[in-house]
Amino acid sequence: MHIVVFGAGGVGGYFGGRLAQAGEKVTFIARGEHLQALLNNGLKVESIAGNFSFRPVIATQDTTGVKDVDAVLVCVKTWQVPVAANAILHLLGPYTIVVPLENGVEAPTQLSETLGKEHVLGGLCRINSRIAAPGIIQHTAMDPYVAFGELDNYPSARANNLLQAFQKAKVNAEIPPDISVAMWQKFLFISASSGIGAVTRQPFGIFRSIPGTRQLLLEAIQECYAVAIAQGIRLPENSVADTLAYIDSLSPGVTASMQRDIIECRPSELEAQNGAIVRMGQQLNIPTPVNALIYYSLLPQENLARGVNH
Amino acid sequence: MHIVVFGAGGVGAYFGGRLVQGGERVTFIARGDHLHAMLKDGLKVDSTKGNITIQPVTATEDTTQVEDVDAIFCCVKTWQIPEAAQAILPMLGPETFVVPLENGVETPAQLAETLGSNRVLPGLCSLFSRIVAPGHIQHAGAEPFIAFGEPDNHPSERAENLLTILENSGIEAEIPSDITVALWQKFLYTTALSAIGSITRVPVGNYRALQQVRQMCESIMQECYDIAVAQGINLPADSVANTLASLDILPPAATPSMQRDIMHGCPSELESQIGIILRLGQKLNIPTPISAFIYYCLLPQENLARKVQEQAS
Repeated sequence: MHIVVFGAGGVGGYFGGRLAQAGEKVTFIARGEHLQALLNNGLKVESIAGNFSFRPVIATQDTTGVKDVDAVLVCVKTWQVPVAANAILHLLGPYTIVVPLENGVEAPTQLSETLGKEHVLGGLCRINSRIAAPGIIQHTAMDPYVAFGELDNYPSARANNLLQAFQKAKVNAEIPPDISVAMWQKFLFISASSGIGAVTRQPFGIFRSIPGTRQLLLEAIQECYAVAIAQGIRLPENSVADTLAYIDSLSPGVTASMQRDIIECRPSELEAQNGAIVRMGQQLNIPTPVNALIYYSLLPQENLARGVNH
Repeated sequence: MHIVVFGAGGVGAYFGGRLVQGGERVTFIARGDHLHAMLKDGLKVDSTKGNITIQPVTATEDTTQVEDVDAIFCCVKTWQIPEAAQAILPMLGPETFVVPLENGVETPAQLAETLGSNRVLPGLCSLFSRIVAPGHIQHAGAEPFIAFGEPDNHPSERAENLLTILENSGIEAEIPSDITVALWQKFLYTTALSAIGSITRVPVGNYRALQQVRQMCESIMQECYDIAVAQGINLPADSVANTLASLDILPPAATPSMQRDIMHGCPSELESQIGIILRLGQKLNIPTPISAFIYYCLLPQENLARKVQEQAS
């Protein structure tokens, strides 16, 4: 299988690395110093699941020369998806599938607009990883996990082929019965913990254990749940409680990537996470007061990080 | 007049410095590096209203040796008030009175518990200033201003005397017609500015034009207003609108001290500026959702700052 990993950061570098290590043909789309390091020195993954490295690495910035692509894993930040979509256009053959692993729930729709929905699957991942230095990926927490599937949940051969590639690479992967439900289940977790993590600026172990702060976390999850139900996503009733229990199960020092980006004054996924809940809530007439407070509390810092003046 | 300035930080050093300049006898109560720097090198205040240099400075940590005190300005952080009250006790002569200039609305009652209610004239100040180095204060903006008065607003000789001394030292000062109303008006302003500044972590110029952030700011003011009115404080009906409008005349880079404390990981006035709204709201059965959100988002950082300080000392 020829798999293109679009974006070779913490997510793309890790999963692409595992697939390449298992013998799949993997082309990384990257840029800048990281691309140069990948080409010159190969890819090095420092992982709690076992270190590995390999070279040569197939990597390029230019998607127009990449041919015969079976699957594209989209592993960029949410705000880069529209730009990525245009670059991915060149990679599409008649049967190429595109699997977004971004946080949030909007990437499949955004990609479909440019690529046509017949190419696009739903997808998500769980991993705590980052670029430690050009060419070096560090995986620091969580059992890496990938889920994806056809947007109508049809059991397709193309999805199954990709699943087998992941399984061969010993990556914990699955095609869940309903990919939208799976994406929203992750979204419940990531949007609430990123939002509360970013406003409190403390790791999970702190904000989940102060009663008033935990209550805000719970309300943020409940709002996200209500927005999902209002648009016909079949989230199980116990999703809110399960999400809170999952947050409680993580090690106390864990932080979310959006939280880290905001604390370190970098552009973040605020718009795709708490911002998206506020926008969808407005459209669906569902009140989302806690997410709105999170969103507008963080917006001035986000604007500053992006150089937007007010 | 012998005036004691209890706490020689941004507020105390500025006003105390002006009083010394005006020829008053002033004793500063301070400690640590700041006290040593003032005793050794004097007090320096950089101010847009004219710099102040004082050498020598009368300053001490030990209040038991300070005698013949007419008035005490209390200029510590709100959480230091109970400790300050104990230290103030030995300085009280028969006629000594105390004017707290702290943010918030709880200090007069806290001081009165220890010192007696006849000793305390509630007060407030407006000033953007801070310690930049031991013995060195910077006044960055806002026209420095003091208001104070008898708790029942009756015109008294001691209040008039203090007013005259402040005015003679070139400090803009006032005995308002209702000091409690004046305290709450300032509270609306400081609390909203501190709350929004601390949660957004940007200067006022970076958020006041964002409509929804402005809306949050207005909501905090409204929650404070509702609590004040429910306690029978006669805040004018246009207080929220006027306070909100006053955001626009601040210099864009302005940040309140609570925001700076939180951003620097230092203990802050979270409890007396925002926590109090939740406490009073619960007591008076008034919902305060915006204040509650900000309080519980800032509480983990506050807890951490106090733990770090505890471990350091």
